[in-house]
Amino acid sequence: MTAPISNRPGLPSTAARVPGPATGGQSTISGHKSLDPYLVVTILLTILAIGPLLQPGYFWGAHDARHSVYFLFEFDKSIQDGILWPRWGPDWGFGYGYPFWNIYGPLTYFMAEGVYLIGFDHVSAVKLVFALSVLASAATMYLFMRRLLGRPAGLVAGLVYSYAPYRLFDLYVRADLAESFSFIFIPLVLWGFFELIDRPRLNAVIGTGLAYAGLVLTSNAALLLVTPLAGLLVAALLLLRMKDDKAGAERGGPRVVALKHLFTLGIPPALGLALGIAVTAIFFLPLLLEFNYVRVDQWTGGRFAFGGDFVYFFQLFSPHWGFGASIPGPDDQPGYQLGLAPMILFVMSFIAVPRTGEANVRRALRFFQGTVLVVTFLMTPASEWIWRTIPLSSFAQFPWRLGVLTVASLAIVAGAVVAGDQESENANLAPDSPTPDSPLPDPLTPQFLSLAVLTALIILSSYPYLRAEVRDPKPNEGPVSLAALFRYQQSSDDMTGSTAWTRRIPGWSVLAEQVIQGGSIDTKVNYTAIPPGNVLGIHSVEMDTVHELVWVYAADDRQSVTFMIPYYPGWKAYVYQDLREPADDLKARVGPLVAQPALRTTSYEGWIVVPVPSGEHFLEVRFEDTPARVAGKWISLASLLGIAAALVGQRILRKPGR
Amino acid sequence: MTDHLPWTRDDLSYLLLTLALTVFAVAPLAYPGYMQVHTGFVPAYNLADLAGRPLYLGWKPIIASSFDPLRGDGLLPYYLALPTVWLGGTPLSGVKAVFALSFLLGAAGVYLWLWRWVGPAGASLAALVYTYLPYRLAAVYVRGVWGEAFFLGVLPWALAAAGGRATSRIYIRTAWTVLVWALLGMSQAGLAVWGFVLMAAWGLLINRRGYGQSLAALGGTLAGLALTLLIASFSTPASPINLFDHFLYPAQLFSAYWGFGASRPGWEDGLSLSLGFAALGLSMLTLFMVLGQARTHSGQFNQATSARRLLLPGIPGVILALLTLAPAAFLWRLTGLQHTLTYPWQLLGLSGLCLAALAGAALKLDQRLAALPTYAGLVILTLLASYSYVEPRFTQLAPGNGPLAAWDAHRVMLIDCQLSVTIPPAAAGLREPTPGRLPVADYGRPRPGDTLHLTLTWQAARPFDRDLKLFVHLLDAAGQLVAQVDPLAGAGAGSQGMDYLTSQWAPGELILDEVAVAIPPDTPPGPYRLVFGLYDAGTLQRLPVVGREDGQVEIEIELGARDRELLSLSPSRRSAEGRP
Repeated sequence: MTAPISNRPGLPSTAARVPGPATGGQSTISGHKSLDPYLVVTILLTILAIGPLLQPGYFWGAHDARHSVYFLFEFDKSIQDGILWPRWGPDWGFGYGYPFWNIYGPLTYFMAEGVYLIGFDHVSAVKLVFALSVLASAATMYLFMRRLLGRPAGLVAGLVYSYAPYRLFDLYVRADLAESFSFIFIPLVLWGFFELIDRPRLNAVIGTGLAYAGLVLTSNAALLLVTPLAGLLVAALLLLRMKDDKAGAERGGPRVVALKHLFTLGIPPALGLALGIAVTAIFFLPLLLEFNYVRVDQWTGGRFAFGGDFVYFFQLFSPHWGFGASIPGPDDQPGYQLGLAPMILFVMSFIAVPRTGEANVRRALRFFQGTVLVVTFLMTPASEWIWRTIPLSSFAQFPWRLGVLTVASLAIVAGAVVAGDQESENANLAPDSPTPDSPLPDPLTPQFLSLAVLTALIILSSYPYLRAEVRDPKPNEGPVSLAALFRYQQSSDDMTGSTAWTRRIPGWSVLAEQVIQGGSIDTKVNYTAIPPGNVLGIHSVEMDTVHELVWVYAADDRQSVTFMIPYYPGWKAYVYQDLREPADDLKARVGPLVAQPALRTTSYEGWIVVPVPSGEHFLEVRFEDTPARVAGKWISLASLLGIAAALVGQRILRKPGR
Repeated sequence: MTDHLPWTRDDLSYLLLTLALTVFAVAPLAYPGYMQVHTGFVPAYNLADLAGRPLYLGWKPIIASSFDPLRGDGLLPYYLALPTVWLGGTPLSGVKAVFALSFLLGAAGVYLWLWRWVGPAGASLAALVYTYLPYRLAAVYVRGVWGEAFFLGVLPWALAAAGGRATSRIYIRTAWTVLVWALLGMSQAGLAVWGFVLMAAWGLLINRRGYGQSLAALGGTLAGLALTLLIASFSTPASPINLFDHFLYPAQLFSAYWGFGASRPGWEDGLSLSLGFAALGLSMLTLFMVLGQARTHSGQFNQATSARRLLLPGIPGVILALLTLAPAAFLWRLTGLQHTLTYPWQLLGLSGLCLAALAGAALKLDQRLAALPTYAGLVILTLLASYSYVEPRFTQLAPGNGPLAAWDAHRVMLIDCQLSVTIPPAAAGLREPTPGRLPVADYGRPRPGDTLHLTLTWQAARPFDRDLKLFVHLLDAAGQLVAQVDPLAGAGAGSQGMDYLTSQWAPGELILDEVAVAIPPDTPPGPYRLVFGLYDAGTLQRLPVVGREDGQVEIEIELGARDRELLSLSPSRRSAEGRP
């Protein structure tokens, strides 16, 4: 039998070995006065993973590489129009538009926009955010595992997390910017919920809320995957904690009432979750209430249809690597391996985890071991019957997307393999070390050397996959421009989403054709819908991404103006009086509001049709906030103010003398 | 066998860990299909034959093969795979199950053989080094020799049985030894002879007490050999391969090369014949550590001697490796052992086993290497060194129960044959997009003016040294030649339409060869035969077809009348008539 290390004679206790709350609150970055050298090493060693991003050029052929750039292109257009929280993408669907940012987490593109505004081009901005996602995720995983198992474990987990083949697949084969960025928040969310069970406190609630908010605003897919995982982790730890307390009561400890106890223990994680949702209400509430107003069949049909893209068992362990698409059957071009080093460390964790001293940490590690097994099973064809019974299965599109969970879980349990060496690390510190917890490693100790070799091998095992197919863009990919965007939409059927009012999904448009021919989109008025006989006259005065102002003349009250914009909640029309003076400045002639007509739509395209009164007027269509969006904004603002107030209050209360 | 031994939870954990870590070697066998290996589909064909008559005790694998009871794969793998077929699996799944079993048995066997000697972590590392030896991976994923693969899986058990502790019950140990060595003899009899030599060397150098067990092992080996020979009626065909042409060059033992080709005389073998980076590297680590300890403990006789003893497995390992080199030819001739194997490099599996034991000894020499993080590093290094080799050439072709035809004593086999017809231009009025060709079954009777496409899937069992030609003749009922083509076999069969001629064909590789035959416009309707075969362009001699004397294969075909009406047939009418 192997006794837990903490119980072995001659070894320091786990509490003394593992930095964490028990050693004086070193579990957070702010808890350290000096920079953690292991954290620095973790980030430095991760630079190799972003090597291909440092090449000039871009991997235009990667699955989502093009739309990552064009998402930013569109996002920037809205920002340039002064819209601080964009929701409408004006050029989706061949120029008709689509409420993309209303249903897709925008945080990644806020980051990219920030980089773009500094002066980088679209491609470089996207590449920088990719790079940031790798470096920052290594750091967050390091911090989480440092809290659980100490610095060496943090280093190993951070590297496994960064170099896992699925991560490199996400970066260089899929080029999925949002999912890559979400890896930053996954360790933070798991850490937060663990902390709220293990040592609940205000900072942990705030940290968990912010981490969860980051995840919500980054990737819907990652959110759908990580939320149940975090929920199950909380449930497992809660139940085991209750079991412990019950056992303690039987041994004469304080008596507990099960339901009340469960409720008490469950409040902190519930608060963390609620705070996360509240902070993101600006996005989350409209997503929840207005998601049904877009067509989702485009996401779940055709090549995105669920069913044929399971990962075959042999693929999980195959060294195969490629850049093509996922295809039904076992002969996919990309590789779906779990990773040699992560898998070996995972298997070895079954020896290491029982040696881990702290009960909650051991339980969490066992939970993640189980997660690897269950989630890996769910990726294989043997689990198809389970998927068929889960209503959300069609949104998963590809079961290999569960790699998000396996990567995180594998990294966490990988750290356990070196956790046992922590005591050796401290034991081998130089005699004049300031404290037993000094983070400065002695490079001559065998433990340090073995850790160095292990980290090198983790990187080496993924080294062959550190490559991207960098090439010049084809005409239907770039250089980044509106014309190239339309050519890309046409050739790939990407960024062609439609709202629920659209019955016929367009394959091309006059707007796109206009741009391809060298023109620009100056109006979205459908002039072909003007009836003959001089009964209707329209002249576009100005247009931006979310509004258009036109001068309109109608011979009678039966006339209407059609805009080539698919209707979606938030679009409104306003009719203003035409002041007729001054004659040479149309915009200065816009008078007071006359009417706010109800909108209609065309039968097939779902375009906005605005009835206009007879006479000469100005008509404006504008994409505005719905009640859900307004409520979301206020809830988010109030939550952030609440967090700020709590932090300030806590600081004041902690001042000496209070 | 080990019930009396002091097993701890750690020992069991390391055994389970070792077995779990064989997953990278075993996983390719889970591919829903098979691999393009040198033995091709032949084991599956013979297994299907055995499944059809399991009670026939004189059964031998003769479909597309000439059974060689000494040098070839033995009968044991067939009988091991039989239950898989009985349980509803395909013969291919039966073959793959035996391969998987060989990896698992090998890993467990090495662990059980060595765990007391080098400790659980050392035994685990040795087992993984042995599992991921390039030679063993090539035996399964390049050569597809299941008898040899299974032999290498059982061999550590045989060594463990022969080297059992003196305190265990003698009659159980003896029975166990006889059984395991009989299994070896029935897996690959020629290698079992060498296995016995290895065991004798091991006993002589390390165990020194196992004379009785050696006798039992010899008995078992002979029993297995006798059983195999009895079934094979003592008929051992002459090997078509000259063993002395296939000695290795020293560089090959250390080469990182990996390929799927055949062994060729000289140094340009098409497959890896390396000892492996992990086996060599970790063995050298052990050597350096022993030398270092010998210097450190030069005054302490016992410790230095004990450390040096750990080097002993290296001696047979090195000797066996040296026997694969050309200077050792005289030893082969002297001992007559050249009759036991097809290639001298088949000793690499045995040599690798010794080196694996040596590699594991490093963890015995310095316990710090057995600490989990360091051990993890060593295991990653071991698997990483061979990781790129666990990607075989897969195929999803279902081979059926036998080749459609075989030429030159099964040197090349026809695995699949499809006949299709180019859709004539007259059919271009079809509403829906159509493929360029339709299978004859869908097209109906081909008509004069049509072009027939014969798609042949070849699989060579042995390499060719020349380019063969393919003849395809369209004969009428009277045997008169109506049309013919004589392309080089494999013309245009390479990547991007390049030629891939028979001299380039690797054993076991599936080659898709397409030949077009135009039916002359004035050909009358009626029954015809499409005959084809292979011939040597130099001698114009046809290669003999197994089971036929005329050296050709036939496909009967019924030609229809020339349908002039088709030219003016409207799509709607064709549709109404149910035509494509």
